[in-house]
Amino acid sequence: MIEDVRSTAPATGVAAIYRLVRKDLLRRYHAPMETLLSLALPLGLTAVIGLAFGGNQNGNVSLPPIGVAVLDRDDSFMSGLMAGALGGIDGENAPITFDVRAVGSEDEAWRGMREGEISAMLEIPAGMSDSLFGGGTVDFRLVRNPSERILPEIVEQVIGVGVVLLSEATTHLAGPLDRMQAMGDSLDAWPDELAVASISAAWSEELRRFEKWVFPPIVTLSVSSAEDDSDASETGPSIDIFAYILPGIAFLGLLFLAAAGHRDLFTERSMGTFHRIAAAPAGVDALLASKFASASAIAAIGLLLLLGSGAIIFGSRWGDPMGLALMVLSGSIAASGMVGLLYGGARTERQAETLAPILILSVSFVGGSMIPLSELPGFARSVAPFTPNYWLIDGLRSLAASEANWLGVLKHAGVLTGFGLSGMALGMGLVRRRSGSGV
Amino acid sequence: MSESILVVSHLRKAYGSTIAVDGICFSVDRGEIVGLLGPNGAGKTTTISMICGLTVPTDGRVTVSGHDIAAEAIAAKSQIGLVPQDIALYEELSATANLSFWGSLQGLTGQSLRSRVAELLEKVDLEGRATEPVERFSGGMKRRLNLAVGLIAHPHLLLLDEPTVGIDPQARFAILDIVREEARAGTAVLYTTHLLEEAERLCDRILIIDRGTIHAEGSPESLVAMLGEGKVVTIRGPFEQGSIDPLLVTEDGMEIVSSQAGRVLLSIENGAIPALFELLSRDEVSVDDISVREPDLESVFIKLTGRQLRD
Repeated sequence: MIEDVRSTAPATGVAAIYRLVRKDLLRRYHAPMETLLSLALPLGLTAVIGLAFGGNQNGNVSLPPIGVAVLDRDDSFMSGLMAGALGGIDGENAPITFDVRAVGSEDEAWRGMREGEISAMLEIPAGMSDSLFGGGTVDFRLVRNPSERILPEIVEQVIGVGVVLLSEATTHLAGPLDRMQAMGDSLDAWPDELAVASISAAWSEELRRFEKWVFPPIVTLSVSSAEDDSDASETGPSIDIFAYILPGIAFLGLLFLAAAGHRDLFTERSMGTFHRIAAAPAGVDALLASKFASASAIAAIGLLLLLGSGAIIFGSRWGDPMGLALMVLSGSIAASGMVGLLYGGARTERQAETLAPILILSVSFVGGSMIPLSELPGFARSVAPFTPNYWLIDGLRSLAASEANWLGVLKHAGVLTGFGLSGMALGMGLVRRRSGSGV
Repeated sequence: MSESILVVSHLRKAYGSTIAVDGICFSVDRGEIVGLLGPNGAGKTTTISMICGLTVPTDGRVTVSGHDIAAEAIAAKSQIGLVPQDIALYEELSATANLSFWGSLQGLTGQSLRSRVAELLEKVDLEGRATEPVERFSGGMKRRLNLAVGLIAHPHLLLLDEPTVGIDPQARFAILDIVREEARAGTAVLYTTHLLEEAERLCDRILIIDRGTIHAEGSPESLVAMLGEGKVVTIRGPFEQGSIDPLLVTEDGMEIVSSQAGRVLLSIENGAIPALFELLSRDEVSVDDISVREPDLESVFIKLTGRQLRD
């Protein structure tokens, strides 16, 4: 008699799917290169794009100090204060810092630019203090390093804002400034406390008159302004550049990860394991469902790693953990379902491999993974809600900007799950139909 | 009384107007090794696919241990151990991981799974390489592991689809020994091959299949006996098909088994061989080669189908 060695009934249904998924994850663990590459690409892209357009406002990662040469032809107390103020933009919360170097001539600044150490030169004209306090006009000159694009632009924007502030201050704070100038001109010793206090009182009185108009812009333009809640309502949600970029690119990477998962169906066919599993009690349906589940699981792990890496490396915050879990789960199902439909419809591996990148990149482009939706033509913007990319990006950004909690992204999760399950049902149906009388 | 584990009744498979399997009937008893012998494209793999439920038959019925493969798929499939022609293993996983996975699919868990895996690794002589990824194995080692996977749940029916393709004789003999051992333990074995020596050496009974039809069935000895007591003579030369047939049928004790352009196969009584040489010489038949051998399955196959196994 043949001994029955089974401890339980042969695995079918969910039990079979569980064992098949476990096997797929084990295979990934033993051959991780494809998965790691799929994860490294979106992280790398996010870092490049994020750093090119500015570090995050929490300061965990920021641009290196931007070299600014100051040619001070005025050489006064006020011009010294201005140069010092520019160099004083630093600290934990500063997204950018300046490495201010005093230069004696324009040639010296040009040398610095040629050597790549200087991004721009600010020339403070002779007689600046007198003009400023005498009610005259002052013309600052900024020379940009022609070999750089982004860093000189940042310098220009920051100094432009400073000039506006200075102009407003000299118009409205003429009295206290005159007294400061007089104090600066006779600065042989540290001014006595009473004089400083009286100037301070005069500043305070003047500023109170303009409090309503002056303070918000000052706060907005200062380093700490990004965390000012009153600004958020006017300028859009407060979200760091990496948290803004990463969801879109992460979903693009997720689609490629899911594609690798579904490609495995063809690999199993060529290895013969597909037929061996189909001949086992588990059957074809469990095998096909397991491929969707494996691809979803790999995508979920991938998305968690990407978002986690974003938090660790770039300091991005993803808001409500419950909402994040919902988005990760539904986004992974959507990625697996969408790619599974493609692979289910493809007759051959070659056909699938040709179509997959085209479909993934097209959907990602229209869905806002590669370029912000606001930059896309109107037609693309109207099509975007029909892509899973759109819903994942919108949901994750809402969470990152603390605009929504898990209830706020429930709709996003529902739509994404719908995408995924529809793709899965259609994909499985196509494989079954193509298999026809056998598999 | 013998117990039939596999019963195949009027099994037919058509792909449009092409008939792959044409109403075949046979059975395999407990402990019996049955060979399905035929050339490539004869319908062997389609038959195996229908038996294990991979292909839905156009007509007919298959039962395994009394369970209909269509109506009681899970019960029937749980009695089958399939060893496909491809080495259906996960190359990145170890031998142990492969066996554990396939065993878990069949319902083995915990200690029973671990002990069965260890037992099989020893049986196929891979216990020393148990934790290595399969991709590092030689072809013969992979074939042995492929067989072990088919045996993991002690199947009632073992289906072997050309399990020794591309391996050296030593590894082949090892596999054949294991198959014999399983049969002795009571497993019914259906073994497809196009290798005559294997079929003759291993099988209790052989089914000769070609173009989807079973042409003959019996033990290797009874099939060979169909050619009579004499010898089998093969004549090769630059002659047209049928051109020398009239000459050969004039002699007593000679029977044409098959006649093709450039090759004629004769079944000939022992005493008639000198007469054959005389005949060919007298009529000045241009001959390149004449071989005389004992009757074998190859000759039977040619007689039944008109073509060689490797055609």
